[in-house]
Amino acid sequence: MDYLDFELDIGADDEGRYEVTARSCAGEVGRPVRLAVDLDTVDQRLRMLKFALLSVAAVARRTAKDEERTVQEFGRDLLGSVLDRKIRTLFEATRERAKDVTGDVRIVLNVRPPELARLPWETCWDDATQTYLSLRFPMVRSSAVSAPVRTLKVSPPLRVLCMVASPRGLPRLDAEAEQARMEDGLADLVAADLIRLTWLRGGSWRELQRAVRTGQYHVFHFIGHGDYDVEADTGVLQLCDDGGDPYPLPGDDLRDLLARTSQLRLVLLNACSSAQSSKRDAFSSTAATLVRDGVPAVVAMQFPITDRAALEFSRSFYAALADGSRVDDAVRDARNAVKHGQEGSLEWAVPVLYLNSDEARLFELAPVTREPLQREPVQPSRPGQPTPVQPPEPSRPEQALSGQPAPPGPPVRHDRPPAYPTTSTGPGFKGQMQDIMAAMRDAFRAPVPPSTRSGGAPPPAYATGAGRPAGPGTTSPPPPDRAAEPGPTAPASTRTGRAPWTAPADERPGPAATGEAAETRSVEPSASSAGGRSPASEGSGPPADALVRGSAGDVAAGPGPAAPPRHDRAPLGERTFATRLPFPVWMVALGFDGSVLAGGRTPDRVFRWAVPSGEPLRPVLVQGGVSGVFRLAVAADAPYVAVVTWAGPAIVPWESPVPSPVSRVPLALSADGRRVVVARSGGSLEVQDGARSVRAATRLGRSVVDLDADGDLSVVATACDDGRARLWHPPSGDRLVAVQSSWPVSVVRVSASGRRAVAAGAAGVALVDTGNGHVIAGARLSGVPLLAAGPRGSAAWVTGNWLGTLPAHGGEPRYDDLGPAPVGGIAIRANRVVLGYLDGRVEVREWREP
Amino acid sequence: MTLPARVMVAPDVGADELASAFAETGLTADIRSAPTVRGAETITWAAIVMLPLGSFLDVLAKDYAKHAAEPLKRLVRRIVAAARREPVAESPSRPATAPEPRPLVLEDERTGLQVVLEADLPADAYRSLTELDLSTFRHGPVHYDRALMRWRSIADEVAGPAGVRG
Repeated sequence: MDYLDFELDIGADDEGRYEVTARSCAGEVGRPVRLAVDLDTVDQRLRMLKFALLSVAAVARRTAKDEERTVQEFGRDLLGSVLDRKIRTLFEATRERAKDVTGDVRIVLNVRPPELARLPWETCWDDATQTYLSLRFPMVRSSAVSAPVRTLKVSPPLRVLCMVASPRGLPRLDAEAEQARMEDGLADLVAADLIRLTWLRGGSWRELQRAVRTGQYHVFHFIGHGDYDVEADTGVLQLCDDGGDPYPLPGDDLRDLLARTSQLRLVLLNACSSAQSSKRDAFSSTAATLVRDGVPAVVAMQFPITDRAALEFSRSFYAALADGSRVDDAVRDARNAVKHGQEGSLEWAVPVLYLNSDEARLFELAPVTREPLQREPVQPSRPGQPTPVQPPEPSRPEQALSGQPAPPGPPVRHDRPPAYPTTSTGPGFKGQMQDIMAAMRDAFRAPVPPSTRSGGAPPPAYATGAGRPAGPGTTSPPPPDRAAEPGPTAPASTRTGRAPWTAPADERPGPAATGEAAETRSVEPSASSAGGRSPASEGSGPPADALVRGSAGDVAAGPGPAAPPRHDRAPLGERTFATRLPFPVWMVALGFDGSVLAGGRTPDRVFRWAVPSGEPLRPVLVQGGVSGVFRLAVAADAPYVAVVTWAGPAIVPWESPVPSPVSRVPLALSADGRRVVVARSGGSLEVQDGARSVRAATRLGRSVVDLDADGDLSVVATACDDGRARLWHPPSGDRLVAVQSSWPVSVVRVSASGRRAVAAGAAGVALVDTGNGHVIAGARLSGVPLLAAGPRGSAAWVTGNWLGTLPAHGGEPRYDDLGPAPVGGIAIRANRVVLGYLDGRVEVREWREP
Repeated sequence: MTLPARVMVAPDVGADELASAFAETGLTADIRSAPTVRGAETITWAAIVMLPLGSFLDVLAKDYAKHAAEPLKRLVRRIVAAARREPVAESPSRPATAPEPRPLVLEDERTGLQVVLEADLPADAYRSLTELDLSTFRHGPVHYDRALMRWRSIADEVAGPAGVRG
């Protein structure tokens, strides 16, 4: 069963007043929080709550009215603090919609003030329905994190690392029983090699370190003791030292030990207080530390939990996963199992699920056969216009493209592409990682090409915020050569039956009004940039691919050349600027003044340089100490940037500090910096102005994983969670047919003129005519690429360290070897290409047709 | 008059036959044995008694002249002795050492302030306990310093007076 999300977003304004915003597909309601819990005495209530939970556990089969009253009162006060008539109405409306669509509602909590985040929201009790919400609905906690969040879904076998720690002096736990129950519950899947369990019983950090060094795991399951160190203000897990005595391991250290497990998707900390945090820092708990590091799903205990309840929880949780349940459903089932498995138990309120992924399914257990995507029919064009030719319907995409049987591969579902590039789990992944590390070492040893600034020393590696405006060395990019772009094709009529649209003359961009959208997307660091990408990342050559010509119906067969001859090289010319940052670069952009922006794992800024002088310019500062990557949209023609914060999109002058962004929400900024288009939860798109007034909106009914727009926001392309790309025309509200790609789409870019869009997924990239949604040309890929709309309506993409391009009129793809290090970000505007590499290099190159 | 108290004793302390001992101290105790939990907290105490601590100390003070807190002393000795663990040799090369006896902890049901009653506290400790001003402590736990011969909370001393920032 899938769910419609009902989000409760609790924050505080600048004056410390709490506010709650409820959002769902049925609407949005905001109001001040009338906190019914006295924060001055809440510690005492929490102690009494813990006492109540354990008291009931201490006495079997006894009516625990007093203890349950303690839990209910707490839960009533929490829910009463945020729920009023309007929010309840919204909730009921969401449930009604859910009945027609998915079945039911999921509650998503984002509680940002740490003093509120530490409260047990899982106890929320609704007097009206006499229901504990977390027993009735899946309830997840979501939090804004800056680290790239890994996709939850993995391909089998699911590799689970289980660690038992039983240090001397602490109560002995029934770990054997937990191991036995897990193995019993998962026996069928283990026998089918869909799940592999690895057990560590020594309990030491050395054993854990060695395990993650020698293997990759998707799940880490901890059985042992946990605690909260009040003095150090951090959660700890009690491991064993070399002598078998307790070794308290803080959450940060656990995170560092697990850092090698780049494929970690789920962590289950079956230990006391593993989700307990302080009133000062919402990320002080062991669980939150892992969430902040990008682990998509973490289940942990916010209070002490008895051995019996922990056993029951893990048994039921894995049984539900083995039955194909989503992670949030499995947690809810396990809560109910704790409640019913031990009569009267209140410990169902102890587990907390942090879920920072758009997906909730950890893995697909049954092999899935490939099926062609359903294609929506193209509507006939206006009378007198030729009927658009539909590309041939491939029975299997691989055969249609290559003319040969597709090589066997892991089962893949095409309907839920990952939001971010996924790491490869294929046999070549380790080799790719080793090549990447070797390439980075070589790159750091190689001399950095000097900038083209005349005279003087090369520019410093990173800006120090001197604040000087762009000097005389800065040049503005030349206006796009619109005459060179192919003209619009006859647009198809929309599904609404309205006449096909063309941009009104007064809305069409002028010849020098806009440059290419310079916004770039962020990607995961080196591990994922290598994995899941083309084999070219191994340095052996460009990706094997074939070409699809949609309009002509022709199909070119066979893979591309291993080493493209000179005439097939991408049109990358002279390097006009280069510098290096001391960290991997994940995002690059071009400013309105031609300056280059680059950022990566930096806490609070995006660096800028003038081009071609290389003079460091004032960086774009980001509030909130964000570390890592976030989506920053840069206006092409004005000094504005935009991010999505938890309060909504924010357009700010880039001289002002940018408010703390949320990394997962896609957005696009108009060239003049006045409007932004964002995806909202529940599958809607909105165009908003700087005051957050909605200028246009449409509902897709799907979650949007990526979007982009032209300079005017006249054409908006989206990639949705169903793997389809769609086009939207905000001025008229028309929505064109879905892009007819033969593979799932997860990233999109739109040219500045709006006439071309580029849509790509892990299997291929397509250049699209936005007039009718037809694929003009395409290329096969193996891995989600970095994407950019190239000059004059062309398409550009990067896989590993190869740049691929498709001309606007269609034709053969071209490739260029960008060097030893993988690319972390690409931006193109007019004839300038900015590339950021994972070895820290940033360079600008000219686009020159051969 | 008796005061209500909720008591959780460590798993190795028998919960049976403690009710009368608590009753002698003026407490009507709901006693439960702590289940095994996956945390380290339970090893630090023999029993936790949640009660209206201020009222309990008032009663203790009122009756001190009559019995000098003997019922409370007996209760503490009994529970702490029951929670005493046998010396265990950790390795052949390391001699067996007696682990520290775990105390009985009084916890105020309103503020959560804890007062730690160790075994064999001197008589003066119980006398000064009856005079303890709980409002002077914010963090706790409060324990009896035998060298200084007074009740103190190291956490409060480190934090400094309320309203003063270090």
